[in-house]
Amino acid sequence: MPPSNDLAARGAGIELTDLTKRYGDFVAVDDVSLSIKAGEFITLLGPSGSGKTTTLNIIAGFLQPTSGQLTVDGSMIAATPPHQRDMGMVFQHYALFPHMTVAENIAFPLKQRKIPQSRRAELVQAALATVHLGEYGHRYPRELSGGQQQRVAVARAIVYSPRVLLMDEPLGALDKKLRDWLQLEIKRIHGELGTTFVYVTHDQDEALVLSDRIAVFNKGRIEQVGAPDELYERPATLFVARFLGESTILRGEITPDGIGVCARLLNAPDALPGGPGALVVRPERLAVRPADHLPDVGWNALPATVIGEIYLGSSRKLELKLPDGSSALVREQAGNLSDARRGDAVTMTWRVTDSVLLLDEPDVEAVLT
Amino acid sequence: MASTLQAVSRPATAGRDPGDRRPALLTLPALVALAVFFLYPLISMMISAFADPEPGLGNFTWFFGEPQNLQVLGRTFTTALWVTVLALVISYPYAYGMTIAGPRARAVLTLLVLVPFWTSLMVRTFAWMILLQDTGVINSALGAIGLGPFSLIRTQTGVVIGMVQLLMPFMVLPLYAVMSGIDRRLLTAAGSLGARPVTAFARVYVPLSLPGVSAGCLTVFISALGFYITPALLGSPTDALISQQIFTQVNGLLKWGRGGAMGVVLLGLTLTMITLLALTLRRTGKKVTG
Amino acid sequence: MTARLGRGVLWAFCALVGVWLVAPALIVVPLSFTSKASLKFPPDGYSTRWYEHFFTDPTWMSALWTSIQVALLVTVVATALGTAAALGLTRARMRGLPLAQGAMLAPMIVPGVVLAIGTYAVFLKLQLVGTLVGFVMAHTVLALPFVMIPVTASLRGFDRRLESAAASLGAGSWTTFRSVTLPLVAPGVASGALFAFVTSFDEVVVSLFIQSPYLQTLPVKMYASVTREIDPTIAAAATMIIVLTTTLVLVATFFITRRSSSAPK
Repeated sequence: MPPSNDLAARGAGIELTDLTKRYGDFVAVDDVSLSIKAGEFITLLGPSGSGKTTTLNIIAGFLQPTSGQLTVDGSMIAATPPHQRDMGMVFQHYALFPHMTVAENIAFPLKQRKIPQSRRAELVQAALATVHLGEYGHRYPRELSGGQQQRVAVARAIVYSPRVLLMDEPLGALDKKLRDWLQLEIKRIHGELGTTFVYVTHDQDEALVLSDRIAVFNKGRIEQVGAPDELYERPATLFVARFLGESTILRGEITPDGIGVCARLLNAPDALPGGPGALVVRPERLAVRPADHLPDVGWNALPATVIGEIYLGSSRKLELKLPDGSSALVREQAGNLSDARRGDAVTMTWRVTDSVLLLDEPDVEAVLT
Repeated sequence: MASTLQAVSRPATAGRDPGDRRPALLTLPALVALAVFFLYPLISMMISAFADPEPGLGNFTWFFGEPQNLQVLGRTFTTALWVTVLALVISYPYAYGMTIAGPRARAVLTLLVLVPFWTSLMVRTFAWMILLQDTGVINSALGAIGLGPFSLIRTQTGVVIGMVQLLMPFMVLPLYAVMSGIDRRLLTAAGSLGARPVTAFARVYVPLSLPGVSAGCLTVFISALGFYITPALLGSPTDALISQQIFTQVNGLLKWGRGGAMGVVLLGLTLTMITLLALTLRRTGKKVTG
Repeated sequence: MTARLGRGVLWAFCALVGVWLVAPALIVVPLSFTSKASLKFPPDGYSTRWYEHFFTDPTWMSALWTSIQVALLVTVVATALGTAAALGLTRARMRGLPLAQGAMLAPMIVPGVVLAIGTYAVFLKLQLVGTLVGFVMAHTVLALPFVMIPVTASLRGFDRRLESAAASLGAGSWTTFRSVTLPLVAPGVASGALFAFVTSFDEVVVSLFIQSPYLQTLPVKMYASVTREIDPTIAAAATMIIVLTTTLVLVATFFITRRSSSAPK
């Protein structure tokens, strides 16, 4: 969709090359390289302390990298102070100026750019219209709800048509319902403006809904960068598989022929050098069959016992126990439910190509919980 | 480990880099002013104590050798002590009243404490001169009920009465600050455990209010030690306190060294009191929080 | 029953103490309108002759004018120095800053007479005795802690993300300070300025030493009059000090509470 808004801007491309940020012995950002395309919506996703906010603050200019390079549209901006970078930023707690009205808040960046009074008023109105707050210009921030304040913060950050908009967990303080709605709003605004959006969140659902691409952060490093479906279907690491969506993880020893799980050799979609590994399958790719079911060619199967079922309306979740004591999660779509009940002995089966073979990471659970 | 945690928590503030020293430059003008107009005077006073009229400890041997000086020191100390004790006895119930009063009554009580805060020391001391004079309001009031007349002005009693009133805000405010933070449900809890109200108050409330008591007493005591105007105007010249003696030595007799030595003694006494009370304050603070 | 009696006693006590706290200041006011040349209270008759005397006597008038001049200059200098220092102390990360902070609060605890004789000695050397600059600087040092405390408190309560926000929106550090930080910590700075004015306007002990017959502040003139001949002009001067500071405090309180209620958090 072509930009259709008065405030539309041509987005800038951002290039992070080998960025590192150290605090003494602690490495907050560890050799991060990332190429952000002009006009794309990219999300930096990760648990707290994973380096995503630090990376955002380096892009904004609030932090100086210890080493590495940062270019915007090809020019290095490491030495440019934040107020000359011409980027917009939406903060987690909005950071609206409490002593200014909504309109004054939004006019603030225009004043800094010496834009004439009359033009200023037009742009403020355009920004307010973009976030559907046309009538609220004369109010003070404290007179608005959290969701409205958040939209003012967005309006203030886009009113001067910056080529990059940085957002630091902008929906973190809002309740679920409002968040869902505002996600759609942010996505719409991105479509209207054409600005490059760099969005930081720890909420995987938010990342999936909003992003063109997602960069998953863990311990200061980027684990994987890709489109949401790519990350979901083809996680590159066990961390990504665990962090993004639900998954059933079958741990075992990788052999040249597959992976040994529960004293059985399972077929793997690809080969990895031997060692501890994990076969990852998304719950909706798993199926439950009677205990005596024999797998077709191209399918894997494991015996299991149903130990729990949760009915969710559009789907049903089954919790299975495998022979080695580990558990597996299966999701069945409504209209396609099996007869399995709690206590039943069953066969769990899935297409080999629906699984991903990954190296095991012993401490992945510790990072996530 | 601790440093790692710190490092993790810092970036979240999204400010400038940690370890930024440039803002420290902003303290320079104030520090220069303090060095020239505060530190330099104090140092030159100390130097004269040890070097005027001739180098040595002569001024201190003079000070501690004259019984009259030790009397002055003792009188200063007991006066300050009396003022502190009386101020505490009057302020404690008053501050307690402030905590249990309704919002309106509390506003009035607070205003009453703050009025002296804003009223010039000179003005209030002058008012006490009028009140305490032999034919003043207090004596005529006492006379009406068949007492007196007492001589109040130019006596230690007068000095103490005046100083207690002048210093009371410094006692009430820290007391109130601490007391308003005490959870009064603790008293109810103690009552439900079988303590009588008086016992509950003494065993639960009073210990919790101790940080305020020591802060208030410290402030009042050290202010009282160095008081000049009030004793000079309300007291008798024969019962002078140490600050009056310092004034006389320097301004009247031009004995800079002796005045300086007395200044050093007074300063030392003040700093000792602060250190002592800060130590006990820290200890009671620990007991209360831990 | 005993509880209620206890409360009654407590309230009676508080009321009595309240009267005791304000009455001394208040008896000065009727006294200043006495028609006699004595300080008998209550006065036998009323007149404004002591005010006439105050306003026609050149020594009283010049003392009043000196006090106002000194206090205003101290307000400006101490507020500027104290605010800058408070900013530095809350913003910089450096060893030794707590020490600097302690040093700036030290004038609060040093006995007035001790500082006074030291200042007198130094001022004799620097030829600052009896000068406006001398008064201003001596009072500034005393007023600094009273500026630092409220300004530091409001800076600590200030959300620094607002400064990051201003920077991201294109404001340089000076613009950010002027248009975001300063307006939001203004109540603290205003109370600091008020404290500075009152500290200077009330100061007696140091001023007694650094005065000259040609340059005296109002409290010094009052002190001198009280020790020499007592006459109700002092009561008139005292009343005017009360009125001036009370007005100032009321106006400032009104201004500060209005500012902070229109810009909370």
